[in-house]
Amino acid sequence: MTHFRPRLAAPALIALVAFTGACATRAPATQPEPPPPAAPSATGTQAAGTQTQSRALPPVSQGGTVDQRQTASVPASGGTGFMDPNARAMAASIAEIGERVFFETDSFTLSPESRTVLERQAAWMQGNPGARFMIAGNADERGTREYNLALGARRANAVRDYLISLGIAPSRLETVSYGKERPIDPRPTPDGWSMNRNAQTVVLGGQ
Amino acid sequence: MSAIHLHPFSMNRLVLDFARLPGRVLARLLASLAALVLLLGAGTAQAQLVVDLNEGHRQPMPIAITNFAGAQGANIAAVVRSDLASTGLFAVQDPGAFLERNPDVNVAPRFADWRVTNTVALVVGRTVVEGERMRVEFRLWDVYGETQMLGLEFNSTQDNWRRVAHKVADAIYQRLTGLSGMFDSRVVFVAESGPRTNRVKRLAVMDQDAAGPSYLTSGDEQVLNPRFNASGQQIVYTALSDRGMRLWVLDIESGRREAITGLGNMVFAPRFTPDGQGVIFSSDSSGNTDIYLRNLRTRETRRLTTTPAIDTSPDMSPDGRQVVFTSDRGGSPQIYRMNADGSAAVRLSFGSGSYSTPVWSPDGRYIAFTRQSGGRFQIGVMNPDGSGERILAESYLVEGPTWAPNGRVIMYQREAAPGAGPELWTVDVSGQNQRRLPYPAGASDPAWSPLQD
Repeated sequence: MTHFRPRLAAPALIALVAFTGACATRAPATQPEPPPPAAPSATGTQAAGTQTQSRALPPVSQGGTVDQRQTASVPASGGTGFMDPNARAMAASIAEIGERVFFETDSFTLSPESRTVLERQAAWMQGNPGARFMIAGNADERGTREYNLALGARRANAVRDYLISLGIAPSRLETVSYGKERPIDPRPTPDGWSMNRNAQTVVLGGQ
Repeated sequence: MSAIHLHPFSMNRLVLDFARLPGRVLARLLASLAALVLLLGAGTAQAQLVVDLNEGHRQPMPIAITNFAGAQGANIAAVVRSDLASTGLFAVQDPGAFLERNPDVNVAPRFADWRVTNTVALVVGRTVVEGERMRVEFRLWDVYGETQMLGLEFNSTQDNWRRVAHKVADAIYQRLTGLSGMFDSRVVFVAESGPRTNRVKRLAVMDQDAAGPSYLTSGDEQVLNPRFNASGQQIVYTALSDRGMRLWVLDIESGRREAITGLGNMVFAPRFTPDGQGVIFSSDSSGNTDIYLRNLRTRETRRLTTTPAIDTSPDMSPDGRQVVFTSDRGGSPQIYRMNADGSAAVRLSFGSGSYSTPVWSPDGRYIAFTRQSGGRFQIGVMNPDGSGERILAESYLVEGPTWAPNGRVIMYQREAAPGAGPELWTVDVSGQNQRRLPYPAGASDPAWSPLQD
């Protein structure tokens, strides 16, 4: 139940008749509230002493049909590595001579220490002529994801270029970047970040 | 002065509102307007209730959403309340304080009762279940003007009540702000789990309010930077495995996915072109990352940049004529803009620090970005010519902004403190109303869908 009283038209309101191009005129102060548009079927029920009215409202507008979304989802499953057992054995060897070299922030310059490590790697590669290698570049978390993928690629290629300059055949050296997605040190500190700015040499497999 | 004004009726305003409505709604409303004109004759117009988006003096509009009558009615009302409250533009009234309980959608409300609680706008609705179908009707009332501002019905199924609720919230939001809606939309993102040194990163999708998350990949590969196409039906993303990266296009509904082949093992940063016919991305060759455009139908790939610097994170403007991207050709990562054919590159960012991940707003008026300065990360916006830079959010790590379909809100990934783990946050383009999405686990790389049909 609702109280409906004749309502004064607010004097400040702009006349809607401007829409039709006619002059704007103010409604008489006693004009009752206009009924809602689209012809409501009003049923007035008068209670004693009170002006109470229940009015059916016009139907609401059609907003449309809302369909159920379909989403194809998949279950979880475990990941798999790519190295065969033979390669794993060789990887253990390269880990002993140093499989990673490290970089300064936003840099892909090889330090003298890094060059020494890579010279040992090159010697080991020359002693294992059937092996091929993947050089993976990594970045710390202090950069945006996509830029860091590109930065990791630069680091991997800096290593590859140096190994080639030491006589390793380019066809034996693939590169990849993991950006900041595969940190080896979980510490969110300058020490942790410096560990995560690296390029790792991995044995792909003997032939 | 309150930010909520009872504006005089303005024809311009009215036409603007109607222009945003679907055709059939527009026809109904125009018919209603014509009837109103006839009934009023040379009378007066109604006061107009609007949310003032002027950022200088914003006060949330007090709005009451009563529980809708019928099946799922309380659930629908709760989602509408949550949607509207999340914008910061509305003070959503506590249902416990309502004087008029259970009002009938087809009876005018007792306006005086609602004025007692200072309610300015009121929503009343009901659901009607007929067999498999559910009809949801609601009306939006101007409590002080005592007028109906909106009356709509949606037809669906009971299972689908949540989407209907978002549609209702969008209609109310649109009517009161004059902006198009954003609630009936989804977010694709990367669900993260496991230790930092062995992170599982799965592709996932959920509603914009974090309801109904589902996983779209198994976790064998690390998924990076998923993005929707313009219809919201497809996602392009990077999958990182031991041997490198591939780009995939996934159809959400069917689950069918197809690799974009022939691009090598170092392809990343993909986004659909606005027409959905192509993917713009970056690819590394011998340590040099450049930007390429792939036509998905002809499979032709065109190279757009040729500098020896890193050029990545490309995003094509909504009109398809320009591309913004990240490049360190000037020494540090900065934002550049070039023509869609790769010509006429100009630098846009000149503040201190580095800039990356530029992304156009849906209307092309702004570019959102990530800035890194003084050991902190920030999310900001600038004009397409690089002027008018404003920072909206800052933290230990924030990155990867994405725009709501109406361009009013930006979502991004945030890590509050070292080691805290990634969360999804939103901020109004005004810089106000920072909120965390209530997704309960690690989440990164959000991308907001367009508004659903």
